[in-house]
Amino acid sequence: MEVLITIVQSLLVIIIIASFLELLLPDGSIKPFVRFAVGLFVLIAILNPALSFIFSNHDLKLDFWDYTVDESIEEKIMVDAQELNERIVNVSSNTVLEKMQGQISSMALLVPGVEEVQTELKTDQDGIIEKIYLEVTPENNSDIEEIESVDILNTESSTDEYVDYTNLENRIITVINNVFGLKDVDIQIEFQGG
Amino acid sequence: MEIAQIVGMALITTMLLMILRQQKPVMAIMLSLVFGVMIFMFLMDKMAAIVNVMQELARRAEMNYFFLTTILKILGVAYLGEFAAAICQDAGEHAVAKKVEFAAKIIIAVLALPIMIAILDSLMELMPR
Repeated sequence: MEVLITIVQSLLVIIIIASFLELLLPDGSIKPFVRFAVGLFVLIAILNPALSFIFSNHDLKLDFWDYTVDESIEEKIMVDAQELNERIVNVSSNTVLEKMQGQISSMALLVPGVEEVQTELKTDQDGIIEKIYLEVTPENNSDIEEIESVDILNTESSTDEYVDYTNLENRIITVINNVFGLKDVDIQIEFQGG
Repeated sequence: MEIAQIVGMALITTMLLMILRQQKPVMAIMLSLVFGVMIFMFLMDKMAAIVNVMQELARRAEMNYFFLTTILKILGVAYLGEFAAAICQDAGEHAVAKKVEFAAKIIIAVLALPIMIAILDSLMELMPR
């Protein structure tokens, strides 16, 4: 019953529109043509809801010109789609970033003298790597060159020992640069327990 | 009172046209054209309001927007064709006026074709096979 009421209401509006269009028709020899077109419009406007009601699962073959989107809905769809797109891009970039961090850590672990590596990547807005922070824990029994402190003031001999990580740092940077081709990227390495 | 302004402009234009048509017919046609454009510009807002109301009505009736747009285009083509034909007839070029009308009719027929095909398709689907 509600569907029928809706159809009758729609028909009333269509009749009003048709009458209004009839008023707007120009005089002259073109008038019959325009009246014919308006007649077709009224016919299809009445036919479409009526047939849709009678044959609810019937395809009326109005195909491509039957496609309409309400402007307010269209705007909402566009905003939602943009948000969804941003979310997808963020999730995928985070995944790629995590994978990349893992790969860099694995490569750094292959360098002799490295026990543990934590990698952090810093990217710009376009997802291009700007900086790489590495937190390296060196092995205790590694062949890192140890330098005894130089006693400048020539007092009692010092027992403090300074570990030189420059060699290890260079090796890690070379490996990362060669494998990932990040020659222009700033790589910062911090040694833990050094 | 917009109608008063339009009537005033129309009277002045008519008087000028009467004078110009005898002395400089080309200028008379130009003036007629300018008057037509002025009237069109003057009523642009009103026409937009009418189109908006019709769109709103079509939306309420859940009518296909494509068909309404087509009908409005047909109306526009018809009016433009009529105006152009009238100007040509005023200038004494009846043959050109007829051709403009013919072109307008063809364009209207082409614009109405999709609606016609949609109706035919719908009816053919209903036919038993």
